[in-house]
Amino acid sequence: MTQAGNVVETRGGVVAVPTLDAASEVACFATLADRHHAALLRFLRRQTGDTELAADLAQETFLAAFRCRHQLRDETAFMAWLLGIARNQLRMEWRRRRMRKLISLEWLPPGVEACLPGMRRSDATRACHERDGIQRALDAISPTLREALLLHALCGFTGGEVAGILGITPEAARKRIVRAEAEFRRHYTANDEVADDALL
Amino acid sequence: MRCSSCGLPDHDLLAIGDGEPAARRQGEVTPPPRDCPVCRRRLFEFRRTANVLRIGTPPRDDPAGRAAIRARLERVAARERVVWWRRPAATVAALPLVVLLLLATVDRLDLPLPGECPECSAQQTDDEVTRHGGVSQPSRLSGGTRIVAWSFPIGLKQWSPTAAGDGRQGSTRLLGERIGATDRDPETRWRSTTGSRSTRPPLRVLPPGYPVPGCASQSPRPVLVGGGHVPCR
Repeated sequence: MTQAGNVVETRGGVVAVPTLDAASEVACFATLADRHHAALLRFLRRQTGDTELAADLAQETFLAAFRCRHQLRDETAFMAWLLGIARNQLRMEWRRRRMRKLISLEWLPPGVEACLPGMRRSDATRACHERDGIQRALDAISPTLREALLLHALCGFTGGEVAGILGITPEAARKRIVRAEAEFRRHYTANDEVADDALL
Repeated sequence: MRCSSCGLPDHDLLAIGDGEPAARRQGEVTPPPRDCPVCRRRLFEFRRTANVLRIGTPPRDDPAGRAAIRARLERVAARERVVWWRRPAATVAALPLVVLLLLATVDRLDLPLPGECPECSAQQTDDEVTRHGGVSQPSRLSGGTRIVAWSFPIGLKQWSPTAAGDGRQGSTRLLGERIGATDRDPETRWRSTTGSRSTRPPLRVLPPGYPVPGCASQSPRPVLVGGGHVPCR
């Protein structure tokens, strides 16, 4: 167990916050945010496939977590709790986007894009997306499976912990992870075998 | 999916790989995966996928993002410390109470109603009401109903046809009844309590103490009503 300022960190990189005054509470939580920001951002980046959106969602997640900090029951599971909040933020964002899509021009057929150059994804973004075989493979699997896989493989949670975050049984969580892993591997090897070899 | 060699389900293999107890069914013995080459291969694949994801997604430091979070946290905390009446939710909740208090105060002032002429309020007709900037009568009425008009303390008026109206609601009186259209006279007609007929409902401003024909109670305060011919006291 280590102590950093007002933040007490336990074995699993998890933090217990003692009762503090308002200013110390902010400082404490900001320290926590600093510590977990990169991991959260990594998860959100892969889940959304959009760096900017991931950064925004990470911010919203920390703010939402701060607002409901008193609801944190198990201090040893801070990251899992944070990821639960991040999932909710992500779901809300998708819902917002779905609504926006209903009233936007995105439903226009692809051919129309030629007439509206402003609508097209920039070449740089497209090239970057094409390069990232991992993201393409992740995009090919369903969001439900994807989040299970990311929580397990990227965030390092065990099947049981993933079950806790997703609110499902451990067996169901493990089945999701296994399915996601198989689908990811299939898409990844099909899409980009060269990148696979390079990474390994 | 199960292992083709030992029959171990993939999700149990994953649990073993995570160091967690696998869900065992009755009479089922989980073999150690190191004994089964297929399971070992599968476990290796799980780890390889995790490696691909981890190596392909390096954690990126984002100092600007962290600074933004810190700043926003401070703002949120500052807002939490604001006294209750400066919070928007509290203000919204208190608003109806303030409005009620205001209404009660204005009612006590006994201000003239909009459209009410202080000189001739008891004698106004529709035209006079219009001239004095008053409210007009409802233009359309459903058949077989009576008109009841409500007068609110601060002078807002709302006209509403109602089937159950007895002409005594609020402080406005309907001094007559609807007799409907006939073949000879297609226009809707109203008959006042004095027997005169009109195309408009005989609603009246009643000064305090005005004896309402057919009504035992008295008007509590002067109210502007337009239209119809009603005998003046």
